[in-house]
Amino acid sequence: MGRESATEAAARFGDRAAWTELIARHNRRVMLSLLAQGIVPAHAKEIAQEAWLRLITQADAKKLDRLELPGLAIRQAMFLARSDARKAGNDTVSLDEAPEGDTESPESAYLSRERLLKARERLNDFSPSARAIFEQLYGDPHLSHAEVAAQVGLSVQRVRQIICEVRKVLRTELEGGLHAAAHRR
Amino acid sequence: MQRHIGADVVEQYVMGALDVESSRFVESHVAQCPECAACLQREAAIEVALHEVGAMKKVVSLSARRRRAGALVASAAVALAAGLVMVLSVDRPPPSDKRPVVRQCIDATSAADCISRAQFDGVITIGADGEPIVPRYDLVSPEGAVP
Repeated sequence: MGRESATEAAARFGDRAAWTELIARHNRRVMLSLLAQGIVPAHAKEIAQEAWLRLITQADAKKLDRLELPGLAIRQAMFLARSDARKAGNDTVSLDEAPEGDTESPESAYLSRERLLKARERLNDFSPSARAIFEQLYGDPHLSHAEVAAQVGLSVQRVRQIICEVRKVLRTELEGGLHAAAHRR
Repeated sequence: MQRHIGADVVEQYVMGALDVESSRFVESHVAQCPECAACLQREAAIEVALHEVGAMKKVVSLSARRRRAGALVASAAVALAAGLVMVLSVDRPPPSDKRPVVRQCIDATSAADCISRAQFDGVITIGADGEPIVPRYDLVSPEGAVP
């Protein structure tokens, strides 16, 4: 995540086509962040939509100094999810259980980062082409499976097979961190 | 309750690889099945973490650059040290029965004359500060020398 792109800048100044493009590109990341909190898909979709609407409203009111996506949309969605969780009877168990203002301790943050770094290093076990596909799918900015397939000259199915193989290996590194995070809660 | 959906299907769902109909099926199933909902949460968390790994590229590249720079400095130091050893070896006078003479001109009154004679004999060099520098690898001095 870094500088504001031209599309993001255009959206901030009210360009609806730019917003459409940005939502199409980043909504999946927003949804994943909500699903990873244990929110069911139907409710996650509602929260994500509300998050985008609020961002557009803020942009229209000239209240957005910068628009860096998907980070801002994810933060907005998580804020809404927390607000929903506070209003009783919600199905967002993870958010309900999270204490107020819960922040990761420096030790936990270090361990999480170590896990991510180890996963990153495991990428070196793969061929350059598999690494390139991973970078394009999961890097910043990321592309869709179809866009990556067009760039590398493979079928979408083959790109997915490759990324599933990479995912299978990296998950062994990442799952350890996720289990540790779950135990710390 | 229907059978649980497979983890591979859930994985495909979070990767965005399922068609609309299959996605709807997954969404409606996890709404009623806590086990599959937990599986979905796990897979989504993995997917989020993978995006974090993907975004780490620049950070890792920076540390890799630092490692490379460190390795370069280390190799340069090793090369320099090896070069110095070679120069010293080359510059070292060949072994001979006649040992070189080193003269130190420390007496202020006779220094000028001493240096003049030493330069003539080729045993004294003058440093950047203009002071005579006496090579001290050998201190055998037959005449007027201070060991």
